[in-house]
Amino acid sequence: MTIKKLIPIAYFVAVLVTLRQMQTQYSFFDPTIAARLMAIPLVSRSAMIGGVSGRHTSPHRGSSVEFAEYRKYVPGDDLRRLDWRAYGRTDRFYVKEFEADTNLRCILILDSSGSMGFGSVGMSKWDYALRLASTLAYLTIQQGDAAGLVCASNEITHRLPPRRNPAHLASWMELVSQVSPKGETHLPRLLHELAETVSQRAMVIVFSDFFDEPLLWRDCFEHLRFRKHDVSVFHLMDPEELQFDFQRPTRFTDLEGNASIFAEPSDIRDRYHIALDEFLASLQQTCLETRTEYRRVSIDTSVESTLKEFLVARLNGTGRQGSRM
Amino acid sequence: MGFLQPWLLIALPLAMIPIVIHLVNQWRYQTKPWAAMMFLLRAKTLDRGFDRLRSWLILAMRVLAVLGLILAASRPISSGLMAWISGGDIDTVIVLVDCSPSMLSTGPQNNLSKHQTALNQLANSLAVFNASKWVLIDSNSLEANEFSSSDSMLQSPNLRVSDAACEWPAMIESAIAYLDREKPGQAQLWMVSDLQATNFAADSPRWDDIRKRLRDSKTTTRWTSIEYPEQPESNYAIRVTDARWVPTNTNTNSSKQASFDLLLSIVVLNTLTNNATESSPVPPTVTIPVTIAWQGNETQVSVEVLAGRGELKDFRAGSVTDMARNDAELINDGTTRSANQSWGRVQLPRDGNVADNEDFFAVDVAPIAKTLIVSERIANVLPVMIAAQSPSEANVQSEVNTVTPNLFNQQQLDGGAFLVWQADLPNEKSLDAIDGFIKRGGSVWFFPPEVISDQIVAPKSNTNNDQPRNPQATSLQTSLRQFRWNVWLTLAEPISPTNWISDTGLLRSTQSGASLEMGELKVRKLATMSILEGSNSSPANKLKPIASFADGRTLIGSLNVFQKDSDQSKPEPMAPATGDAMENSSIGSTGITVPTPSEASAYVAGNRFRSGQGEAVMWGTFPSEDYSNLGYTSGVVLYVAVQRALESGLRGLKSVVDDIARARARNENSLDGLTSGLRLPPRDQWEPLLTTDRFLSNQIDNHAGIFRAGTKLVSVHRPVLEDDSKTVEMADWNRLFEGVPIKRLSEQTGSRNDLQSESWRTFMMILIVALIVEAVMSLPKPKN
Repeated sequence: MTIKKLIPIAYFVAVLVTLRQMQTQYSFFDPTIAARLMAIPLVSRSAMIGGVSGRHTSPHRGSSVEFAEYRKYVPGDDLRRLDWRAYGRTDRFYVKEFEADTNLRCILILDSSGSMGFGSVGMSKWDYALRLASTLAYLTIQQGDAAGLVCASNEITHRLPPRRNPAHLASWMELVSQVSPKGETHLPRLLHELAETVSQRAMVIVFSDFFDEPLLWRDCFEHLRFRKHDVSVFHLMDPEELQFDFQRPTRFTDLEGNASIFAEPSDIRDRYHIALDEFLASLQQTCLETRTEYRRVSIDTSVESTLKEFLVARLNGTGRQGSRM
Repeated sequence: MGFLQPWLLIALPLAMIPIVIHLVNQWRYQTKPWAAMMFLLRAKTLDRGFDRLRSWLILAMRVLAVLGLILAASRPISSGLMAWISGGDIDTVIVLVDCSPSMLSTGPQNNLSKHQTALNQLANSLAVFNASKWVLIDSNSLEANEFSSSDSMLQSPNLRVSDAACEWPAMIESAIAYLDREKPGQAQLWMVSDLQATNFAADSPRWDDIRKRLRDSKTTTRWTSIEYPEQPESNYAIRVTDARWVPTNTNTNSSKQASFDLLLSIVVLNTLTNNATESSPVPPTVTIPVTIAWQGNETQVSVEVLAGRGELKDFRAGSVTDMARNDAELINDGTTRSANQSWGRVQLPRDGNVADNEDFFAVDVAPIAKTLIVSERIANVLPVMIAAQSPSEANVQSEVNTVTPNLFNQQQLDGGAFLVWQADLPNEKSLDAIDGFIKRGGSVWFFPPEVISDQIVAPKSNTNNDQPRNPQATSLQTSLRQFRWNVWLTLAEPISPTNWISDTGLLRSTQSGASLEMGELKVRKLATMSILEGSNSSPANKLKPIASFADGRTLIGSLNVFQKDSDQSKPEPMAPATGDAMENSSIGSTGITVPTPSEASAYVAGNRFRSGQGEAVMWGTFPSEDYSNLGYTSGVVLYVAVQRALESGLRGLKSVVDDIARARARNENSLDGLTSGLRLPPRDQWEPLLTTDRFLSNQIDNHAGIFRAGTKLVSVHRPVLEDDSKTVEMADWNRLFEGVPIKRLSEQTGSRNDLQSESWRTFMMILIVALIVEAVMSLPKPKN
């Protein structure tokens, strides 16, 4: 057996070892889910500009085997790319162009504000976001794409530029495991900053509860879209937040500040639902209008099904909006 | 506002239970770290007014419900007046006050009478009204009297309690008449009563008219009934049923002097037994001391009251030794005052009602029962003469004179009580004398002549030309002029009368209710009788059968009763009726009689109180053997009839008569007016000799006592029905005031509070409304 044949085996063993290590080190990462989801590639809805060849469409013509178009020859073009057969048929010079496949850069933005620490089903929204993001990061890197990380509350607390080498995954996991949700949310402002600082187009996936004014999100998403980013949002909601079925009088203390509200749930329930429904509808409409993939997720649903739906939808087309409640 | 069970008010803090529960619930709040604060803040800003109030309203409703329950259980009594004040301006306040003796009843816990309680409460409550007219209708005057203020109204002497009964139908009629006449914009009508059933006369047909007039009235009138139905703990009423002189020892030395005993019959009633039900225990036997005040002396005697009634029969209350024996003879002409008249009173110890604790009596030597028989042949009416010679009462002396028709003269009727005429009908001169005799109260029986001639008393032309001197005389004389004996019929088989009036008149049943045995009467010869129909014939001139046969022929008929023509339309229970009217009376053929109310009252008051009413009775046969067995096997019937005729005739001769307070003033022909038919001077000329403490000279009609009216002594009593304390039934009340929105305030006798009414219904209504509102507001909203 030659060394060349041993390389895939070694690679596979290395992956298994890595997964095993991650499972033991990071509780938020479930390698079994990741292993099952590896069969579904993460594809971009729009062309990506990567540094290396990959499986994603590039806006530039490249040297893949997939024919793109004929283009009239202009002086300066490489003569090696002339299609002589076309010249023979038409007596004109055409350059035969092929699609360029490139890799993508996936930036996973996690809202690490205090509100993400809320959870009533045994895990918080932050935990749920970590599971989603870590699995996506793993899938991204495993398919040869680059995965980055941004944790933001009132400021960008943690940032990891996108890398595609497997060792980066460990760094990614290590960094995100150090983050705990706290502080106020200034995610809209930070998204604007990111839109400006991320120069190349990328896949931007935001995990947040988006507890801010819908108009602010509209600006953010439009900004990101303007910068040619493929934007997806996972709107994470706790079942208690959706149902608000408290019975006893309750003093609600703000996870992002010192404010508190005393309320008789039965008195305020109707108006709470009105406000919530208005917000959800507004946010969904904003995403629809800014061509942002919107996925509302109740954190009591399984991570695997949420991601599978997300990946399959992208695989089938350009992705769609949906919710998992 | 007061409470009948104020101790329950200690539970008032329980009304805070909902608040306490609410606070505990608030105190037991949970603290929840929460992420979606923006929605809570948004929800707060979405808070609308009603939603903000909703929880507080629910809490308030719960408090109100508990509060209403506690207050309702405490039986609140609120001023009924206050509820009326908000009703706008009042033009006229009409106050109807029961001033009957029963209103002097006191409550079980105090000595304040119902009447005084009512006046106090009215004074306190009416003061807040600003009415322009104050109208008082009292049971004494029955007239609407206007006053300028409530104070002056309540100080009216008319409001003093009298001895006359209260007639609520008359008072309400007076009020309606006032409203119709004055037409006030808005009026309030207050009725003050003790709900005595007899005062309301629920069976009176007048109520139908009253209800109709109330429905038709266009005046906005608010009715309030202030009621004092409470009964005293114990109350006894006394009544003299008989008072008479009885000769005891004839002074042989002087034929002019004699010794007489005063015999009194007294009834003492426990008035509360009238209100007792079947389940009520039988009242215990008690002994009541009765004080008899007479000629300056007081005698006390004990009366045992058994099962609510005690009676003293012919109690020898005293004696007089030097009384003129022939005094009765002197006054028989009715013009001379008797020297043997005497009077006094009987009294009970003070109890729950002082108004029925005394009664009065007046006595005199009974007049001689003189009978004059004018007969063709005395054998024809011999049984009548024998019966007339044997008076039923031992103290009555009798005297019978016989005379032939041609020897009859007017003087022979002086001092007479009974005239028997068996001959051709009297001529014009004799008719005048007989007419005066009947007007004085004498009784006249006509028997047919042995041979009936085909001739009437006077030509018709004379009748038509005669101008009546007075209606009474005209009625009688006209009747006699038009009466005629037709023919003697010899019957193949003796026949018996089948129909006769048994509830009143000569053939009325006995006091025990036994019917006279008219069925045993056998008539062999019958003289038919008739009234000639003329242009001036009136119902009064018609022959009214007292007893008749199955074929309709009359055996005994009444030609006329001594009364005015104008009163003929009124129901006359004493008058024999004809035709259909007769069927409405109690017919004695079955031997069952139903005593009329007047008979019942007469029973309690004693038969001597019944006044005489002149009557001409036509007999269609002789009491001799060839004609009938009236004088033999049916002699009892004849004897009773003769005694009744004598009794009726003697009434007009007595110098002592009895009357009921206000009965004479109200209705001269009422049977309660025992002096009706007597020629007495007007009331304002009566001299009070012995009266109650409440006597007012300007209300002499309404007060009991002893009065001198010309040559006669009138003993005026309170109405018998005033001793019946039974209150009007709820069903009767609802029927009487059907359709009248009347507010009833039941007050306690002796209460010094303002007029109040139990208002627990209001609080129960509040409770129910609060619960319903709370339930509706607590309903979960439908989910979209």
